[in-house]
Amino acid sequence: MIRRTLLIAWQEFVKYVTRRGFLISLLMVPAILALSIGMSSFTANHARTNVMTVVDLEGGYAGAIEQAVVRENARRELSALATYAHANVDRMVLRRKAPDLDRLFEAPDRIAAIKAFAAGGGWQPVFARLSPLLRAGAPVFTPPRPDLVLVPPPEDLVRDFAQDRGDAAYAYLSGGAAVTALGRPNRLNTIVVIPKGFAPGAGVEAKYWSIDSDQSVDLVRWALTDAFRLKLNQALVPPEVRSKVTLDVDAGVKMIDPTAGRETSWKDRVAQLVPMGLAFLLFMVAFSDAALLLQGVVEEKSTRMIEVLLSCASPSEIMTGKLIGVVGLALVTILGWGVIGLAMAAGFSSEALAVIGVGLKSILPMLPLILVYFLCGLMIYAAIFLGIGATTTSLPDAQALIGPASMIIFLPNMLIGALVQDPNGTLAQVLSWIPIYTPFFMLVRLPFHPAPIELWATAGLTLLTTVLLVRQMGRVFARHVLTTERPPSFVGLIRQVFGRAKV
Amino acid sequence: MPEWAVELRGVTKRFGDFTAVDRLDLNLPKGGILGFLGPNGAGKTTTLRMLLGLYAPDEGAVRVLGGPVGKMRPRIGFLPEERGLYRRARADEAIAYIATLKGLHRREALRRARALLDRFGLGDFARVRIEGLSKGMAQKVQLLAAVAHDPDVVILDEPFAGLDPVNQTDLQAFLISLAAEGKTILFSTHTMEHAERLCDRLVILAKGKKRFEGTLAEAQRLLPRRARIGAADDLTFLAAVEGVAGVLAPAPGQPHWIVELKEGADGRLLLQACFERGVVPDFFDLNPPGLTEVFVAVVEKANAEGAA
Repeated sequence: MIRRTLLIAWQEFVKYVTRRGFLISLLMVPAILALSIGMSSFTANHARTNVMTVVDLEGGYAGAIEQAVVRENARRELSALATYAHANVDRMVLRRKAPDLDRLFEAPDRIAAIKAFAAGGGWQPVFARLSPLLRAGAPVFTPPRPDLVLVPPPEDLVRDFAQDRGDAAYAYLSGGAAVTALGRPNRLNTIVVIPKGFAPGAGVEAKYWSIDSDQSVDLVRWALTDAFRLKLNQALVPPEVRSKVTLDVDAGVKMIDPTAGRETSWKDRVAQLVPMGLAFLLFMVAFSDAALLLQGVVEEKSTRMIEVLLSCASPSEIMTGKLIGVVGLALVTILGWGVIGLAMAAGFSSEALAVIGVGLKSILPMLPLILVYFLCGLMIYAAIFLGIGATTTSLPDAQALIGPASMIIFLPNMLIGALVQDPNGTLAQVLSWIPIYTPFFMLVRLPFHPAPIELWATAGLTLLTTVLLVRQMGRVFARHVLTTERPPSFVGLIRQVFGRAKV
Repeated sequence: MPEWAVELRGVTKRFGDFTAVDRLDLNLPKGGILGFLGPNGAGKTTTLRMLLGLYAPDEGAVRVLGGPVGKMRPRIGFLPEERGLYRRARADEAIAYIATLKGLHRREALRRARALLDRFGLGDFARVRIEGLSKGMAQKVQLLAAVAHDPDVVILDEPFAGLDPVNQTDLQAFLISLAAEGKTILFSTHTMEHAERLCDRLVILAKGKKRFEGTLAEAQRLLPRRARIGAADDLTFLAAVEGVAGVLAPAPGQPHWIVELKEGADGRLLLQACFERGVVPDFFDLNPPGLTEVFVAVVEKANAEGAA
């Protein structure tokens, strides 16, 4: 009995392990991980520089933020230089010939080290001392691009804020007007406004205006807190406020949404999360419901039900019907999950329903685009699964094609971190134009106000991709659905979809 | 000019270098039953698929009920060779689903489905899932799905495969009743007995080409008339009898002498010659050749032509 069991086990093992799909899946996971790490590294090294200005209507705070920015950039430079020194200088040599540098590189995150580094003129003087100690063949040190660049506030901006208006702010933040940063015209990413009578704790808080970046809000908050404490210590706060504030108060910074001209609230946060949630749901239903579709087609082929269907309707009717069916199934699935989620949330907290209600209400203006991206995305993934099902006569055969296809479809999930960090950056914009990824990336980016032209153009691209892919997959479906011949390879299938092989 | 139920004009279908159907001409008049015979790989299923619009011919034209196949789909019923039903569907819904695809309203389709199930003794199984039915029952349900929308042309691919003798008899009766209602039935089969019993006309395909089309009697005339005689004595003397074309001794394992007769020969002269010689046959058969013999002969001839 054990022998027979082992024989069957071996047969099953060999059957699956010798499939090309298994090999591809085996190699693709590390390949995708490597790509993901590479992309993350690329993103880190090529992160967008946040161009910020400070409109200090109160006076005395812009310098504090500037100092914080200088220190932050110095911290990054010192950290990169320390990593470089560890890799390219013999530790013993460094310790003997430049003990102060050795101590500097040992703990580059210490505030004292950063201050000393910045005060000493940054990376260039340190690198000049380090150069004679470098190992032979060491590469040249390239300092990291600054995360944050401060530019002087344009006059019209200052004028506007002094009159309590935000028109100019929106123009600068949306790219309608530019400032000079890093030697060229640039869109302003962030405007920090210190209002007249700035007094944290007394309700007069700084404002952080940005369309798509909150990456510097903590830096601003800490800088203002330090500066305010300093002022307080120096008894510079107005006498009427002094009694209301304490030494341990944190400087408040309000996030401002320039598109609405008001403070960003938790409702906006929820509004950002809903499309992102839908993007993930897109994958989940694609992989659950579209997989059922594939299974169904394989079964119809094996039972010859497909012949009966084809004697009643054309292949395109059948395929379109199936796609619509799976879209309906997906919507019901989401509805079901939604109802269950609501019930569970309501059980946890009485406020949860209100939060969810706000989230749903807040996405209403985006609903047409959400529907286009979501439904088209679903159709695209379902069409791929359906085409695969039509080319195969058994689920193991289908698996050989599903493996690589799933890996490719799943790739955007690996990049979600980089995307959320900079939703309107170059990487996000480039990825959003890869047709099969457009629905996912645009759903994630939707709340971060991409340019209107980008929204409508990618929506058009998504619709076009859906129509073309469904048409091409329809040809593959019609070509293969009645055959019992060996399914095409993954590359062969792609060629058929793109019309480079005879369908 | 008569309007044909099925009309094929010079139809050719190729799959790569392989020609599955080669310049096939076929006219099937309305009403009646046509048997579509041929060995495996003869092109039967491919032809049926072209008649259903599942394949487009590479050359030639296919018309059903005087029109293109695509437009005539609602007037065609189809039974595939295997159980083409959703296993999880209930019997009445499975039938109604196909009927609705063919154009019936859901309510009417369900009504007809249940009526047909009742008529075929499956009324109690109307709400049973297909996976819970026996193979014979499922085959019946499949057949009912093919005809529930009241088609004018019914195409059946190996309808008797897998049925027990009782169900085969039921199915034969059903096909005859459909033909009596004026429907045109075209079915493929490997079983010659069914073709002999049911078909008004026969078509034999081999290697993608039509090798015969006509009635059963015309098919039987393809082979010379033969008498089979059982006797312990040597019957070569029968070669001298008037109208005899040849006398073959029993082949190994075969008990009978075969006497081939010329067209119009009187077989009774063979018996007379035997008795005059004092030979008393223990077996004598003058029936025309069976369809199986005709089929084998036609296919062997086609194979020989192909080999040549």
